[in-house]
Amino acid sequence: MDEFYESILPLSKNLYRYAYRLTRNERDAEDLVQDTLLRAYSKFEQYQSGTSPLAWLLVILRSIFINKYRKKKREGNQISLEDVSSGVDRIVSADTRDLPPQPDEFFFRDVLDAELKDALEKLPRHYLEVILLVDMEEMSYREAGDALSIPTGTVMSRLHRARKILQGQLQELAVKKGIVKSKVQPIYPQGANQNGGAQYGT
Amino acid sequence: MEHDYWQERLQAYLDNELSPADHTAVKNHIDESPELKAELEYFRSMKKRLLQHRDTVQMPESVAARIQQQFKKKRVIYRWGRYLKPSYALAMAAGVALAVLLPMAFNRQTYAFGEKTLTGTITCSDCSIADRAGLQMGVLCKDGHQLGLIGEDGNIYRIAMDDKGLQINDKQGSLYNASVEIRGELLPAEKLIRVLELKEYVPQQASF
Repeated sequence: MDEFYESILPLSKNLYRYAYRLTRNERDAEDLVQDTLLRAYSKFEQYQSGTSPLAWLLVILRSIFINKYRKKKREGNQISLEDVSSGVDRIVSADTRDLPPQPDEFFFRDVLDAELKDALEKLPRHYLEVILLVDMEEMSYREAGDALSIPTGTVMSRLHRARKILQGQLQELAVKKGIVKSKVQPIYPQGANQNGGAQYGT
Repeated sequence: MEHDYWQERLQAYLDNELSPADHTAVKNHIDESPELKAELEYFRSMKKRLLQHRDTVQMPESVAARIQQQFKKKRVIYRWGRYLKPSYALAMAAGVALAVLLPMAFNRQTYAFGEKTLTGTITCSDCSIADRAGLQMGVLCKDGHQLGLIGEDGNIYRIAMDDKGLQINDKQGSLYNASVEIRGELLPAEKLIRVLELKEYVPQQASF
């Protein structure tokens, strides 16, 4: 049980970051982290030493989130597949000719955290999660796949779509800010299935 | 479809998730495609920016403190719980027994010999005890008399059969009923004396 205190508990800050991005408020994020840690504590004998403790914790966190918060979400503003699809069509662009020549120098430096936060919050949750795990928690595809209970190949394809959507959103922002002048084109033809995998509850 | 194929692999290339062979293939493709190269740089910048953005969400110190506190309590309960398991209960019982027995062992010093000078009459201690108990003489010392002393204080003392005691015992016949003064080491609770020196009072002959 000492391993719990050495390997698991220090990850509570990572859990909180993840929980906050999912729940979008501090109170729910705290509850989610508490619930996750308590369940991890009681099920700690199921943790396989040597595997990624964060991936294991996130499996628990997502399980709790899906069961507990999905219901809550249904009562509120549920994000439907249709919303997601239309959003993708509207914002995704594949036209790289409109990219600034050196975006690192010109564009991303000007993206405010608040703007990035908004862009992330607009992502469908299953796309948001791969971004959170791979880009922000620096997990490997395999670890992310373990955490999300999906194959590594699905992580790769979701990540591709997620980044493309984010690219489209940020490009819209760049147009608004006058950094680039561009039309925004959908990457997928209208009516095509671009959901990219199972949503919660499906 | 081919575009998607290379786009997906571009992401995996960026994340260093490709096999060496695939990595080389994608690298060659990127080298031939300025469009992919631009995309790679774009997504590299995005990835870098996302990592910078990560820490804009921080767990409040109050939440961290609450979690620490909660699990600190659990740790204490867990540790005590371990001691209540059967194996630990046995260990605890052994510990308690030691705690009781060790002081007793140290208390043996209360049974230690202390120097004392006694006066009285040499006797067989077992016969004297039997006599006082109203038992038949000899029932307590069937294997031989036990050298002893009836003190002036009325107590019956046994004399330890160490070297000095054996010397006295050899003269038991001549010393029986003799009035003596014994300087020795006494174990008071057991009324056992180890003789260091024995002085016999020779009765004064009446002179006519």
